[in-house]
Amino acid sequence: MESPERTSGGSKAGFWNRRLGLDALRYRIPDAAATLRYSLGVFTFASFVVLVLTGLWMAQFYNPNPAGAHDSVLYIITRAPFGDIARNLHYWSASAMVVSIVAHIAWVLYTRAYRAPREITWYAGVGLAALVFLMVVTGAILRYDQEGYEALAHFMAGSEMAGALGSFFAPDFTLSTPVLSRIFSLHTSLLPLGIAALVGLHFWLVRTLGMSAAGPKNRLFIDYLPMITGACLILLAALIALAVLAPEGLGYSPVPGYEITKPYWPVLWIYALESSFGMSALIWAPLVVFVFLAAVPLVDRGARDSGARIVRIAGAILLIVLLALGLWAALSPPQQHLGM
Amino acid sequence: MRTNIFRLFVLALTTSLAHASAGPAEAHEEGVLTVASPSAAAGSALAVSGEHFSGSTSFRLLLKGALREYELGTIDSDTAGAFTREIVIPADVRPGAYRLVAVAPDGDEAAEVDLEVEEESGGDAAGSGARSMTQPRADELSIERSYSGIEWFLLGVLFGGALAGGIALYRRPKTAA
Repeated sequence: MESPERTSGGSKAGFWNRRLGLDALRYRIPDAAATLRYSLGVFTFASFVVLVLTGLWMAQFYNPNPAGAHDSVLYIITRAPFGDIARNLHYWSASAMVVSIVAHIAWVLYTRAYRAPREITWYAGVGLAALVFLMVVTGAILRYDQEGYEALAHFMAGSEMAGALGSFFAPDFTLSTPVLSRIFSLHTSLLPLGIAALVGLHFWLVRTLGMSAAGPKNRLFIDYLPMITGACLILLAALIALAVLAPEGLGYSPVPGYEITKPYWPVLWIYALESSFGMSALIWAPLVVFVFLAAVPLVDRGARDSGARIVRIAGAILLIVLLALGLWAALSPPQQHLGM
Repeated sequence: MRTNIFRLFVLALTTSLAHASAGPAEAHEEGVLTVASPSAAAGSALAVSGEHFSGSTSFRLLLKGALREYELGTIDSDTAGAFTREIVIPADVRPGAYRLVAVAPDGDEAAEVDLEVEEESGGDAAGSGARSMTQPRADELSIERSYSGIEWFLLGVLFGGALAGGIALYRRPKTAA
């Protein structure tokens, strides 16, 4: 027998609306907001979901002990059920996440969506970008081939330079657990939890303050959802195609004391700066970027447009410099930074 | 309809609980395997001892890693179910994390202990394994990848479903409020 709610509600949708509060999604958004350029953050979120699912699967087979890490990655690739697919999807989703987050930040800068009353939304996004940056760094270590080992050596050197902030990753912080295991726990628990919390805050603020696009609010958010869900599904199909057609490789088992590889592409710009200015670039280069992002709402506020001009020009220069540095590092031969 | 689903659920739950409470039908003896050192170099000898095994029984000793397992021979327990023996870790074992496993005649794993195998002392065992080299390499391993039938099926369903569903949803007519 049908329940009274269902029959009186008149439809299945009515049944679920009442229980999940889906009517809360029936709020108006500007016409312009229902476009892909205003939805770049959703691609970041979709990539994050794929990363969590594939990461959860790989964690069942990964051994975060230096003695077994490399073999366990080989095991994931060659023997674990769906292991190779999961790893390749993980790699391409991480790349998609980095690209979409950079595009999202660039669009928000261009449209000045960081201005009052959306400063906290902006800072939540900057925090998310910082956590994604740490995810990239720690994830590159976990492969534990020669490239991963050298990434670990850089990470340790950076932690040492960071002083008290980096003491958690000093080898003598604890003798009971290898640094690799602690980085694994950081990558698989602490950072994803932080990202989930900030994503929640970010979404809540977007819902509360509304999307920043200008123009009349003729559309309902719930009618925009199928379009953006469709775009995310197309992204997923593209990621699957990339995972099959361009699988991520694995280097040889690491030999300590050598520096002969280059890092994962999202951090190549730091690598280039290390080559020019030494190891201290590990600390100040990311700091410059994040201090700039943190300063944006402070520089561009009030009615005058001069702040906006400064932010746009500085942002464009920064993006061009980062891309150029990354390209330069990609094309130049590997260099020694650690003096190993 | 819902009552039927509820009944099926209760039946499944009851069956699972009954199965779980029955306990293991053929529990194997719990042997204790001990090694003289938690780590050993490939090619070196290692003292292994055991107790609480079945008496007067032959056990196969296996060294199981993520990628390969090595047969280390057999050991015979005495009438009290104990043994002591020196084994040699084969020189071609790749350094890494392993489990040393004693396998009973019926194929069950009677006991196991973790063992870390280090690079062979002397370090000249170049060649066969990726781990057994002293010179670093920046290039990538040549890995033979192959997907099983079910993996291809799942990939096809995921890709096709995501693409078709994505296009359908994306092109759905947008209505103004």
